[in-house]
Amino acid sequence: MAGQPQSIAAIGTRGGKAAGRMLDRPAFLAYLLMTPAAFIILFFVAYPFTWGVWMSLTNKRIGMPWSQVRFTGLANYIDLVARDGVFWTTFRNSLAYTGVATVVKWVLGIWLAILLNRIVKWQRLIRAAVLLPWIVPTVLSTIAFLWIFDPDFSVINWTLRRFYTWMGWGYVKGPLWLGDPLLALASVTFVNIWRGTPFFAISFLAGLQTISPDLYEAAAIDGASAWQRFLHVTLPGIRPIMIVVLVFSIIVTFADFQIVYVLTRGGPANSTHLFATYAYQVAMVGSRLGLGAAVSLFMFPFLALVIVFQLVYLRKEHA
Amino acid sequence: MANRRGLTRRRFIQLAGLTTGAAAGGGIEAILAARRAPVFAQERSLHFLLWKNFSPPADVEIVRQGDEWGKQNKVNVKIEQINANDIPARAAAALESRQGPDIIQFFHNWQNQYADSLVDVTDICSALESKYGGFIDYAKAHATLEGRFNAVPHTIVPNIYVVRASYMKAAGTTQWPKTWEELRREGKKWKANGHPIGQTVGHTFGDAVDFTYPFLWSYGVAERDEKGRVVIASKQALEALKFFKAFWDDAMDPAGTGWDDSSNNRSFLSGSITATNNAPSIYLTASNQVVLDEKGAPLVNDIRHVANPAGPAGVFHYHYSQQLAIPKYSKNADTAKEFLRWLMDKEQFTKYLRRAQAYHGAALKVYLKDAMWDMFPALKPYRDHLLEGRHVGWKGSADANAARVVQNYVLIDMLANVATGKMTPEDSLKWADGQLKSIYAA
Repeated sequence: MAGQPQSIAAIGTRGGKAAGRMLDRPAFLAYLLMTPAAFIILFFVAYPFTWGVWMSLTNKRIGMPWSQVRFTGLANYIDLVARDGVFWTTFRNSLAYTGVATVVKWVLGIWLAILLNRIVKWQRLIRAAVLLPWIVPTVLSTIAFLWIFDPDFSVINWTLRRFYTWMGWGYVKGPLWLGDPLLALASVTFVNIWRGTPFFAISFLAGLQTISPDLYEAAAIDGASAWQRFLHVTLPGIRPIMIVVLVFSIIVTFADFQIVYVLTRGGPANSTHLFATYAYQVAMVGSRLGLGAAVSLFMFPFLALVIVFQLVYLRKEHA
Repeated sequence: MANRRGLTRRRFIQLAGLTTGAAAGGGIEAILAARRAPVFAQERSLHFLLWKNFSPPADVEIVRQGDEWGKQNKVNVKIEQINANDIPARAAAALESRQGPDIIQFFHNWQNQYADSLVDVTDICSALESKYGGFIDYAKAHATLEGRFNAVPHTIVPNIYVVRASYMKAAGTTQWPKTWEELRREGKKWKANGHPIGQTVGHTFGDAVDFTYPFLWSYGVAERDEKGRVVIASKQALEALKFFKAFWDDAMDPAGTGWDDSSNNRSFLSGSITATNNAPSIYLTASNQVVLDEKGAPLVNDIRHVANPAGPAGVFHYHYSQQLAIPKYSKNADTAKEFLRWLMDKEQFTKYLRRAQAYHGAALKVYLKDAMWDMFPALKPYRDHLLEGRHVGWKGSADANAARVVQNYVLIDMLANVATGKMTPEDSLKWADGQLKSIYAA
């Protein structure tokens, strides 16, 4: 460098000022703050997703050298839709599981939230207790249900057998909770409801507490019945939180894995397979990674639709 | 030749030896005298993944053997035991990410799906064959593809019928039925007495396969012919399915559609069922835990082990093989091979079989004559039928797609569809034909 060397302090001061000016620009600061999140989304969401899409378009299997991997276009998707004997069962199961579980969790959640909102005594203890099913690790609680649903040693069937004997009605084995196709699907759905209801209830409770008591008083003075107050005050009051909770629950329930894997592994006769468990069976156990990726990607359009609905709704709310 | 910094190879070895020796024998003074940091050879390690055995003493023995060999060879042997149903996913994750256990235990012919990713162990297996004689045919078929061993055949879990003699007698059955039709007829009486036959056709790794495959073979049903063509859609298969529906309704415990591999053990030991197709684990539990029957007598005295009944095509059994494979990603493949050679040596292997209390047979035929069978005479029928097995995929080969058929429970679900009433025998057969064609065409 020609001329007098600049002092480091001077450079630092000038550089600091320049950086300060940059940070003063809201647009620059916004992008800067968003960068870490963008990287996380890029590497942990966009990259695996793109990889999954690519995989679903190939004949990739576990352990197959990349030199042998071929692009097969939509062959995996066509195989699933046109030829696979389990795919459509999985599709129906997933819709029934998500639909029934979400509706029941919603109804029970509101009911529980209203009750919790009214309880004054032992309030904290009761709220903590209600949250327990949601807090306990899913696999752990599902293993307990494995015993509850056991055909021979289930507490329910044991009680039924005792009751039958006591009544002199003879011997009864009791329902085959995990052995009958319909009951097995109902059983895994029940466990999902048991586990998910507290989340609905506590979220709705948070929404209920934001509703001003004045609104209920005004409605009561105007002669509104309890049902009308619920319809016209409670529901609109918790609607924003309700939409978020519903969307979140639908996504998580639709992509559920643990409950079915622990209880039935998709059986009996594939009656409880959901997209996640079937994708796991095809890809991880049956080693057909490409086909498994295609199974799991069938979830995407449905979930994307749910998310679009939520975004549109939230924008409308903010407008 | 001196290196760039002027240190000769000889000088390097001298210094390394001096510092190592100093650290080992001379203490801190010697290290200071050497004026170099001590050098130690890095300890080798080995990670061995296998199942949690239905015979718990076998788990204790394999860990002990790992420790013993580790100490002898200065190798840190880590033995990890998990639920058998979880092994395929663990193996898949390890093989795809190219890191994980150095030795993985596989069942049936699972590892043939990943043959390209496994180390060729033909050298070990050929040496074993030369030293001890041959492997049992189906164990060899499960461990090889095109003449190359991709895993070392280790043990075989044999499966025949385990029966409560007193329940049979109570229903007027004087001897074990010789055919499936007779079993159905007698089983109907047992079921009427509240003790049906118990059998899983659920999504589980062992018992469901052990029953389904030989049952179908005994009706002359094969999933493929010798040329590899799917031939399931046959008169014999339809006959088998129609019989199975009647058998299930008349004589079987309906809960079996939701059972896993441990359910029939619990059911038998608690006195719920008369008979079930199983490995020796029921007998061993009854014996080791001194389980008592309803009259307070040891249950083992009431247990009999008998062959599968015959179908129109004869008597068939399926005993699932277990083999040990080394993934190519392993940096310790040579160490793993050394360990497997030692593990398969007669001295170690005999101890393993005996500590497992005859729960396993061996993949090598020589062990059919082992004194172990005299130590556990009640389990001798397992040995007597050990050679009667077939490999999965029969009459075709036990290749990767045959493994996928097992892993996707296709033939098991074909029976389960009928048992649960979800499909008619005709529809279930058509469904299975479609599934098999889809898998074998891939």
